[in-house]
Amino acid sequence: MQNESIEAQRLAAEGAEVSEELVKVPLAPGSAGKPKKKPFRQRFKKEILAYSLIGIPLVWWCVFFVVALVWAFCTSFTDMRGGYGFDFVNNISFDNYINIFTAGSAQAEAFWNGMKVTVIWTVVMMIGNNFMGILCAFLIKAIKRGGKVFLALLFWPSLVSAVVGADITSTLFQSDNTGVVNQIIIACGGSPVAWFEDPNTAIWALMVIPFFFGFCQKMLIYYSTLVSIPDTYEEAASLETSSRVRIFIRVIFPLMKNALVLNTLLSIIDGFKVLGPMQLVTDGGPANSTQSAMLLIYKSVFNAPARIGQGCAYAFVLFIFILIVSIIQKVIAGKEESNIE
Amino acid sequence: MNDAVSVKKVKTRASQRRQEIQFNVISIVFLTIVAVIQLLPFWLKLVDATHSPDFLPEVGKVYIWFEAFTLENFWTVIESARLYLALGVSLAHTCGFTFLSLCVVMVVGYVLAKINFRGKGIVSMLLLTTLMIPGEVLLAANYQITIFFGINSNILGIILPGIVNVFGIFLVKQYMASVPDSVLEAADIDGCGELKKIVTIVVPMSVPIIMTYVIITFIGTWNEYLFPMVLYSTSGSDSLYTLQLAMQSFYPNFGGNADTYVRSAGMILITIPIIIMYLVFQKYILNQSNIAGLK
Repeated sequence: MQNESIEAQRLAAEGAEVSEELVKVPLAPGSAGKPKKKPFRQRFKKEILAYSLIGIPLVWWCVFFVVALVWAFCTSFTDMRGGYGFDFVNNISFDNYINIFTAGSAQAEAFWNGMKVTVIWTVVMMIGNNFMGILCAFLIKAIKRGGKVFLALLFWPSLVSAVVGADITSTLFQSDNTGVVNQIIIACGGSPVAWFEDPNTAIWALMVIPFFFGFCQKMLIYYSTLVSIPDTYEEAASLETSSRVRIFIRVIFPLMKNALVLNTLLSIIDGFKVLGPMQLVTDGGPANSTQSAMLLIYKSVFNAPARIGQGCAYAFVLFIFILIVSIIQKVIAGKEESNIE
Repeated sequence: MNDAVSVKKVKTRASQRRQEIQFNVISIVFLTIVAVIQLLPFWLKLVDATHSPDFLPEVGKVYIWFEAFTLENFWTVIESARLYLALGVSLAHTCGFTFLSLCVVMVVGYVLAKINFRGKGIVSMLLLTTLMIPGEVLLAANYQITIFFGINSNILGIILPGIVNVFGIFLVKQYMASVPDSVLEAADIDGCGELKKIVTIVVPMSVPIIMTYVIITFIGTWNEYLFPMVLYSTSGSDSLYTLQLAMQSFYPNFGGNADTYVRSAGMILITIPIIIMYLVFQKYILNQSNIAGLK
């Protein structure tokens, strides 16, 4: 580097005022002579520059992602019981995975119960949130005045934290007479429902608030897609039919496909990792009816008696599920695209 | 004949207008109902938080207006949940994480967007795999790594693991691609170093995306629950005591006291900063065309 700069200074002193970069450009091909093999520094100038800038972040990412992934993968084959350590040589076997897929074992029961809860949650949230998101985005775009106000009003609950959301859930659905929903039921002449004591109602009661607070993010994405669609499409379609709903379904909705794909993917990923509401409000009960897969993983890793190996095995099976679902979703989305074109 | 057609036209136009008005009214009513459903729980919380501690609610009655009004609960929650401490920790966590991750995101985003180097494709692809794998799969592993570095009972333990924010990198990268190359080349000729280029040219030219990133990250970090909870529940260190964890301790599951008025007051208090952020930076939060185009 120093040599180069000295060289450049010398050249500058001699009156060659052009920078090195400009000399390299073959202004008159052939006159500069055949290209010599440049020194390493110059040949890999850009690489050195780039990697010196992103080197530290990349290493950092490797530590907390690649190493973590490898560690979790290796641990899933051990019977590590908790605590801290990198020595996973005790009893390497496929037991953790075999347990998950053996009908009747406690692990299989817990895991598939968790998967059932998670899948119910994910499917309901995905359909409900996307439907509400599209509906509200469409209405906000369609009304003449006040669209922005409604957008702002409807969006803000998605910024509220999971802890506050869970608190609201528990005040609304408290099982004794103090819960707001039960008070309304009593005021209407019904008898109070024990929301969180009944395995059949607990998960549905947990869903209400995340549903109403969760569709806002989706709504915003749909809204920005809707705004980006030129008005001319709608105008052209309005010559054919006066029904706005029909225009929306036939013309506008197909144009929102990208947003739909993105939002379903986000819903799936968010749904599969749900943990907050369950952990805070019901702690997985009653009778494990609200114990999501993620909560099971958390509990098996951090609650006594800790089984880190088993927890990591759960996590990898869950991960493979997410992967399969997203691949299926990608394939379906890709097919539709080719159909349209 | 002509008359009949024009009459028909006028009629359809009138009926169209009526339809239009009907449609508008129905939509506004629907949106208002949704907005009220979303606001109502917070209003009930606020009313709940201002009941005086010895106020006994009647059965079968929902209080939608202040009764036995007092601000005592707010002072109680600040004292008993040590909210001053939690606020300090939360601010340090949020600001530290946002600032550090912004620096990383700017540099990596710039390099991926503007420097053509060998291996760029591989680096991008590797980073993108992060988005495919939910971070929760790595929960146990990341916990172990923080122990390995000795930062598990330290605020660094919740700041450092996530600062290479891949979502942010690609958000910023996409925006930076629009910074004209000619400007950067001009800076090159003037002998401007890469870091100086980033600070003096690229940053001022990408203020909107920086604002978007900072706000999203700030709110996300403020609300972060899982990883701080893991570290806090295993180490119990005060320097991990964020506001969300302060509130978590009020849940009966976690051995909190069951006074719902005090809990409500706490929930209101930790939501206020987010609402202020929202009111001030609404423009950036609601303009998500950058994000929608990402994938």
